Amino acid sequence: MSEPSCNCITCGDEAVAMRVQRVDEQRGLALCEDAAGQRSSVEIALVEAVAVGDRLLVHAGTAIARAE
Amino acid sequence: MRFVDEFRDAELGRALAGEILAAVEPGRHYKLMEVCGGHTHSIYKYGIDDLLPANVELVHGPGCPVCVIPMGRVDDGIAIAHEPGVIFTCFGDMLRIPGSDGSLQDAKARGADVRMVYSPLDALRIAKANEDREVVFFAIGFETTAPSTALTLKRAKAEGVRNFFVMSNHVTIVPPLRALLDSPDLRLDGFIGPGHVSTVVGARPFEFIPARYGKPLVVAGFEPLDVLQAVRMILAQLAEGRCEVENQYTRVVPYEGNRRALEVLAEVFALRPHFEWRGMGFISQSGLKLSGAYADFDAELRYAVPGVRVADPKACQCGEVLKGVIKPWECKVFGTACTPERPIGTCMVSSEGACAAYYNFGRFAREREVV
Repeated sequence: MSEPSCNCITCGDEAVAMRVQRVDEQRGLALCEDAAGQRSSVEIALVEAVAVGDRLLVHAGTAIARAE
Repeated sequence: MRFVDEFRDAELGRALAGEILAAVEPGRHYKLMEVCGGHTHSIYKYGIDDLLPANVELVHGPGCPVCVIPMGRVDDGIAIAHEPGVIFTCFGDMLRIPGSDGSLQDAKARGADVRMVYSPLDALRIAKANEDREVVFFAIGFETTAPSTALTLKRAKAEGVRNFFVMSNHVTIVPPLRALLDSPDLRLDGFIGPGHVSTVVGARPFEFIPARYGKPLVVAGFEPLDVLQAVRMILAQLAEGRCEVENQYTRVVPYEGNRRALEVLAEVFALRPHFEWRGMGFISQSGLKLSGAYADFDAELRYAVPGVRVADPKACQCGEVLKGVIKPWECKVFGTACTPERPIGTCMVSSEGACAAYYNFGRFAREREVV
């Protein structure tokens, strides 16, 4: 993925790969970290069961796919 | 963790450039459109066009959601932002899009409570933390972003949040492509298909392009080798007389898309009969509004908005740029009156806009130098 620092990651057709750090199944959220070490809370309703260490493609706070 | 190095390997890039050179017919001019603004950004960031033969031209398409927002919608958003008690939230790039009387950033300077968020979920959090205020999220984006808005609305409904509203400007990618293909302005040989829209909708919705219009389309990722490989795949189709949808970005894009995301979209949104696109006019069934089940969250029903169509500034040629008819530097105000710091047109605002990509990576008023 391109560096988030210079791309419009919030609104373009771009997404960033993030690694799952912690899963809150009850709330349908996962704490994820990107390549630059930035952490954020991510919606995981659109991808199959998520586990710590999985890599997700995240766009506007939502995981839209798994990044293999 | 890099994950991207293998897709930026210079040696592999040069090898692909050699294969592309071998695949082109001398004397034939190839015009390939990259639909997505993310691709435009990658092409200029990495100088991909400099690796291509002179007769392979990349044309920039309408796939930057910020760039296609018409002025009237910005004015409507600003009107809501000025409603008493409203906290108006939007993505960062939207703040700078000019309306007919200033931008959302200017509205903020005039006293409106406008806040930047990184996701719709952030906007919902603001609503929950400010129960005495009404929080409006200005939603933009293609099918990549719409699921995020949809999930947030589902969450708001499930949690009984009553002070959260969405002004939907979500759009879909297929109708503008059809409009472009029906336009007599443009002769294209093939398409580099949008990578992350396709993680949601899949590659199948693009099958009408080869079937009805006889143009190949290759869904591609955003790293330099992804784009080069997609160009090579399109040229191979043209050389072999094939015409189909291919998926270069198989590591992320399932051919059928993300079923869960499509179900959520179908539940939360409904197609508008028509929606205005900057420079392209009204395109039927190209915009999404909230469905009846989510009408209580619809900002356009909650507030009175002007809803006036505002013509683009005369000097601005974003429409021609978005349709790939002219290059950004052919616009009269490019890099002079219109810069990323003081944009006139939308294409200069977002880093994915073609004009901003040209400006930021030094492509001023000149033909490209071919290696």
